[in-house]
Amino acid sequence: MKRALLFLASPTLMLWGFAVLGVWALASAELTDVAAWTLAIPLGGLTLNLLAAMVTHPRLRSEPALLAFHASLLALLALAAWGRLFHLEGRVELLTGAPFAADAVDIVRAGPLHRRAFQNVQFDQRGFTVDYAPGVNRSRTHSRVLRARAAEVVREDQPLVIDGYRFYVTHNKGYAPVLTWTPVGGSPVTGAIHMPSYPLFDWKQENRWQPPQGPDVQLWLHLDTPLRKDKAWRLDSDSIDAVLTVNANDHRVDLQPGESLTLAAGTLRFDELRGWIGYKVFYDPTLPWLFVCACLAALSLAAHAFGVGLRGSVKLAGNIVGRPA
Amino acid sequence: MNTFPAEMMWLWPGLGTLAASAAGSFGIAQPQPVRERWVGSLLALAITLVAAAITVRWLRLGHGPFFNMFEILMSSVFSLGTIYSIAFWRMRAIRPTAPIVLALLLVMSLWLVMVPPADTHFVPTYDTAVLWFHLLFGKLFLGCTVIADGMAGAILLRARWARMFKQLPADGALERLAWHFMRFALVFETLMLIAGAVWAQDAWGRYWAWDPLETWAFVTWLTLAGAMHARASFSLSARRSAILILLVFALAFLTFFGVPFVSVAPHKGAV
Repeated sequence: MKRALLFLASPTLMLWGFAVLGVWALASAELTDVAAWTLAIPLGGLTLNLLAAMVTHPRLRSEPALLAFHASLLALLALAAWGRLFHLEGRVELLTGAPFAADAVDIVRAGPLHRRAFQNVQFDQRGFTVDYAPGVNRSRTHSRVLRARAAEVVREDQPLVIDGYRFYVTHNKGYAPVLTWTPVGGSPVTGAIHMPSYPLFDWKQENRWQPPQGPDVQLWLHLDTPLRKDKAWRLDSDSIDAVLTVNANDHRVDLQPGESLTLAAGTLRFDELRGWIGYKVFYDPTLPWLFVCACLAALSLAAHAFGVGLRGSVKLAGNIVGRPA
Repeated sequence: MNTFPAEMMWLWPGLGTLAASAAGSFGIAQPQPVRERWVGSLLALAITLVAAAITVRWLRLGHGPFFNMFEILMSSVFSLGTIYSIAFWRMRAIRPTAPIVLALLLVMSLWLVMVPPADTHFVPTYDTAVLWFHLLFGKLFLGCTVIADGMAGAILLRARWARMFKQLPADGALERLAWHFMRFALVFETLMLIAGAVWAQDAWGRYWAWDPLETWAFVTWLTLAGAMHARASFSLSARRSAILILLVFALAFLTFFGVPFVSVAPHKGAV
């Protein structure tokens, strides 16, 4: 047993663990198909190595700061693993003037134990502004939301946090014509068609929509104000003027908000033009604890290095002055 | 783009003064307090001129030197020069390492001269106080590594140029002093990674994503930690120990300057 512990605690094993972890890190950065779970192999090995070293290595136990640093590292590993079980990463596009729709969340990654509690998240998206510097360089984004009847602003450095879910504004945003299709003898259906991201796809503001029992409609959006590339400007979702070109059943017309196109099967009305904005959704219940543990690790390492090390270096520097080789 | 930005009026004299300081440092083979003071003073003047260049550019563009290779090199010449200058004045015993460290700063300066001083745009994700801590810890980490690198270089070079480094302490004492700085470097790199993770969480909605700069910084941290453990666990000679320091320094240099050189931004894809 003791022999096994000593083997597990060996510094050679630790160095091999570091090497494998380093290779894994470089491989994961360069290759896209490295499975995340494979990270558990070097980290698991290093965890066992550290636990064994804490049991068998007297110096590790006799220096409180060094012990605290390594214990903090273990806690960080455990928390990161725990967080991966419950975490969620997703994205969602929200229409201005509309409530957050949990069904619209596109889940990119989720831990096996994540409970999808974002179904209970409630807020309304209001308008947004994005400032641009000359050269179409994006500056500040201000996205207004209404949460429990209170207005809040989401910015690049200030996510919206509800029940642990963090909503981050992204560069993704654009325009969305709101259309109503009323079939002959049927009930009207309203939909908001998100045009491609603006100004990234300024040259390609087009999309298609096929309402229930309706024709396949091609849509092109022509903004009244062309994209300004040489001067600063502001994208404001609340003040957009544009013409919507509609092509349905070979009928091609330009519509202003409030105008309609009448077809044999029904009527298509261009109600209004709104904006849409994309958010990144992030959930990890361990975030604050990870921060606490990381700070503890850094503090204990600093206590070790600056306490023992500084005294040693000052003494060493004092001793070696005037004593050349 | 401004073809001859105003900051060049300060930067070029600053880099010229740094070159003079580096050239003068090769004469610190003998105990010559006057020459040492000249080298130290020229270095201080060079740093002041580069600081003036940074200030002029900052006022002109409205933001700090964070974005392109020109700005990264300029701020690094300033920060590394400042940190080494403090060590140079405070620890007389390590002054003979100046030829190594100042030659390194000179190489960075030559690189800086060859990089176009293109104007940059301040992106909103950089508008956070956490960035300052991230940068400060990063500069302190690299500064400590550079000081240790000077000592490690001297240990390896004096086998060939013994006269040049004969004023330095014996290899064993020098190696121990170098590792004290590496220990501080590990603390600062740990703090840099933590501050970077906090910034990344706020700016891009993830605290770690294995982007090239994060990956190389982590590999550098692993290598430094591994080197410290190897030194503590195995009886390494001063020369082998010095090689480990140079390895860590090479990785740190690659992380700080190689990755931004091949990327469109310091954190590729996460502007």
